[in-house]
Amino acid sequence: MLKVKNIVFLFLAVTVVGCGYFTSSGDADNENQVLSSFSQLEGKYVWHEEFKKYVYSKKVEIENILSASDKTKMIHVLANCIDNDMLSNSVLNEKKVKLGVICFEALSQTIYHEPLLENGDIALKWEGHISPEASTSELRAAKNAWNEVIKLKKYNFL
Amino acid sequence: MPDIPSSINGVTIEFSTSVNKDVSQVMINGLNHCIKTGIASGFTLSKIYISSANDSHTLPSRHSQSKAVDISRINGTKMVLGYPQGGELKSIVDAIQDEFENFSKRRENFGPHLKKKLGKDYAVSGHGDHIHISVN
Repeated sequence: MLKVKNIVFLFLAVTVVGCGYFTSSGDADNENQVLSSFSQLEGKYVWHEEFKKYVYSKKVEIENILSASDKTKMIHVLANCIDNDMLSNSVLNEKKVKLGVICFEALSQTIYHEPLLENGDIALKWEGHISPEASTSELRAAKNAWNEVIKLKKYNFL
Repeated sequence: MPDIPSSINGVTIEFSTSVNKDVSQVMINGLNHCIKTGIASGFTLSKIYISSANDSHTLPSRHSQSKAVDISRINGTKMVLGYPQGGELKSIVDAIQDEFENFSKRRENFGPHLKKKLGKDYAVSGHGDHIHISVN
């Protein structure tokens, strides 16, 4: 009897562990697929004089790519990707932009953060807010800022 | 303090699951002032989505003081997606922000259309994706 119980226990333990492995592996595959899809988007950043900023042409496509993912998990992936300097297929002024810029675009369509002054009003500037022309150091600073915000759960979903 | 109701001037109010609806009466009055079905000429505002009120922020945030509300969707569409397209969403967002500027107790009014604090231009970063309004 004891031997049967041990065998059943071992079988269940292996099954649970196995499910955990495949779940993690599945998540990683999904995350890689999302980033790969972002990289392949042939979008353009176009300057809008009225808004005084660049607007990305594939925002809806980003939303569609993200729709199949667990957003609570993806925000970690997107934040960590902000300083990824692999070139994507999207362009600004005919020059390819870094994948990190597209990751930031996707993150900023998903969550937002309001940095504060001491009196509770919103601060004027924050290093987590960047433009698609951001330098390598600005992208890195933005990544760190967003990772801190996500760690402390100081964000809201849009 | 009162809760933000589920309908204001005929406009349905939807909430993020994390929202604490308990805000000051002045904030409710501010919402009553600028959330109306006919706020934008030629268009109908039927629904807004509140992404934050008195929640998920720490003191001394105006949100934690029950004096701020964030709106991130209009008629079911995220502002971050719909505003650059122009049309109905942009017209409604612009109208809401313009009208809130006429509210006597307005403090902060940040969003895709304008960014003003106590009636003066205030070039705060971000806020292309939601309207943040707060009261004194």
